[in-house]
Amino acid sequence: MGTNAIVLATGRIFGLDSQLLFDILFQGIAVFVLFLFVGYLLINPVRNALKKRQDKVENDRKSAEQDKLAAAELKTQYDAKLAGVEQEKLEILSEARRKAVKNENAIIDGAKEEAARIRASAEREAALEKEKVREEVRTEIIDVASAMAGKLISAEITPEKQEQLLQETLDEIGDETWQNK
Amino acid sequence: MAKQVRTVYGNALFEAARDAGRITSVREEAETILEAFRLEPDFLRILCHPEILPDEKEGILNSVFGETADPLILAIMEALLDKKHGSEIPKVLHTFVGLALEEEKIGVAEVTSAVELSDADKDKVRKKLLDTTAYETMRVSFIVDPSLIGGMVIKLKDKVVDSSLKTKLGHMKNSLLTGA
Repeated sequence: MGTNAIVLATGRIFGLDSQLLFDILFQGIAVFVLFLFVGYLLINPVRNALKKRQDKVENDRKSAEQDKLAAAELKTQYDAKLAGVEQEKLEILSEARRKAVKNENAIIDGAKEEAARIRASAEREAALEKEKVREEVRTEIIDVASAMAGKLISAEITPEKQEQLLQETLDEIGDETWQNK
Repeated sequence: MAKQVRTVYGNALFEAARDAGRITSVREEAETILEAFRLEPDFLRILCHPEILPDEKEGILNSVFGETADPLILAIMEALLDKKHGSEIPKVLHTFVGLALEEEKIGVAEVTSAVELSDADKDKVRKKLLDTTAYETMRVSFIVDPSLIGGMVIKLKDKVVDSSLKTKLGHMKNSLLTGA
């Protein structure tokens, strides 16, 4: 009902006429001005934001590069350290082996010395024991021989022999026998 | 100390006896008293007992020896008791007897033989000792010790003549033991 009323009032639905062109032109200018105005108002903030964003990205990139460089440096150092550690490990192992060998030799030498000492001591004791036994046997033989000699002489000695011994004793006694020398 | 006591008192008794011209009689009495001490050891123990007073000891001494013993011996024994040297009395008397025998030229010898010596052998020994010493008389005690095997041992004062087979065997044994 309304549409019909407009149509009836203007006499058209779409009329390509000067009015329309004027409206279009006017609206175009208005839009353009609007764009200029909005652009004027919004261009700098957006630009700043973009600039900031760009700077931030740039900073992040630079930071990332620096981090990367630092990481590479650290890696280099780490690798160097690892290499050093390896070297140190080899040196420690070498030193430990050297010490172990030295200790081993010292222990072996000590054991050899101890064994030699024990052996020498045992040989000395055995020799002493042998000598002691030999001396005991010798003493025993001399004791027995002496006792046997005494028994034999006792059995063999005669009164004549006793008399002879007495006379020999008296003959040995002289004036100097009782003098202090 | 004890040696000094016996020497000092023994010499004192000897000097006193010699001065009195009674060496022989005093010596004989000293020997008798020594024999009495040997036979009655309790008598010396009484004289040395610490709980018996010196006066009582002197009384005992006088009652036993007062009338018979020589005054010199009695005096020396009393002096020893006074000085609490009662135990030294026998040793002092021994010292005196030794000095007196030397003065009287009497030798004291001990002869030990493996077998009993005959009287002739004893005389030979006695004569030999007299011939080889300055003694005019010789007291010889003969002892038999079969362990000597043969020969004899003569002790005169501090000298010893040992010709026993036991000693000779001992020397031989020592030579073998020492390897000499």
